[in-house]
Amino acid sequence: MRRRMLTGQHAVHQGVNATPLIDVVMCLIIFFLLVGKLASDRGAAVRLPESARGHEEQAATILVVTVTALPSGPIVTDAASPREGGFAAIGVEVEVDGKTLQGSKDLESAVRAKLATDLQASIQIRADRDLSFAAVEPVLRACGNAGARSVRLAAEKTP
Amino acid sequence: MSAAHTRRRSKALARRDALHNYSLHFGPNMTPMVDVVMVILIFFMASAAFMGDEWFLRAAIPFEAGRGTATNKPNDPLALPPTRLDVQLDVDRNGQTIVTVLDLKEAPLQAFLDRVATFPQSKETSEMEVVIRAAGAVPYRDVVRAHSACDAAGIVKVGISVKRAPASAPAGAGGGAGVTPPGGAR
Repeated sequence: MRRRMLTGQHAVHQGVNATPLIDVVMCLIIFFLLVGKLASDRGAAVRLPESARGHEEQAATILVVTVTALPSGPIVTDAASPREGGFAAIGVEVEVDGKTLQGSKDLESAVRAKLATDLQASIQIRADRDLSFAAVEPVLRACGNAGARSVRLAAEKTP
Repeated sequence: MSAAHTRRRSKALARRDALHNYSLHFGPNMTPMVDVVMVILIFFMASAAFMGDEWFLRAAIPFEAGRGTATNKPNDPLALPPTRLDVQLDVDRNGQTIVTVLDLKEAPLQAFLDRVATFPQSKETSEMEVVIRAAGAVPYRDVVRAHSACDAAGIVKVGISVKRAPASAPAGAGGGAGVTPPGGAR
């Protein structure tokens, strides 16, 4: 009697069982959403300088500052500070949390706001390896002016 | 062999199809769970590989105090160091990074890296403080190379010196609480 009911139910179902397919597709969608978010946060386009030594990030609060060269920007070798024209005048694009900052004043505000929430916040500087130090120095100066005692320089692992 | 026996045997063979096997299955269906767990496993493996290709170098930000005012720097975390090494980085006419520190005078960067690698792994070395003073034309990657070499030698406190903004710069470069305004220290 029981067996007849089971076979009867299966006989009604026709076509492919889509449940595993939907499970997997849903997981893949979540995977790509997360990876896309991570990639945008970390600025995947930045070619970091190489380092044979380094430390893992352990801070709970992190502010990621991405410094990249503008494609058609000037190559600056002696920039005391970004003047009128901001970071674009020294040929770099500075991003914080996916937003492009105009000048050091904006960067100081962002760093100060982050340090206000957590004094131990880690300021990560993700600067392109092909930049000159003059292009990175205004970013470090702004972090120092905002009260950051130290920063973390992101580097690519070398074997 | 009787006809009845043959009929019974063929009936038993016919019942061994997929549906019959399915009907013999007891317990929960594991297939969707295994699917999901496999995808989660791949996700964590991929994200571990994605995030494991970089690390960080901790760098203090000491400000240049200006000429003749080596003390009383309010934002200098490396004040009054036990042993302080000022590493001057510059570029020569060919665009190569040169370094001036200790007995090295405008030597190639590799000479400095080799010298730092010979530092003994001792308490004195770990308590040493290094300040990298780079000219604007020095490639950023060379600054990181010098920093990385110091880190490898066991030196914990490494700073990258930045110059204060000149007095002609707009006021936006400074003005924070406890921070000397641009050019004010000079």
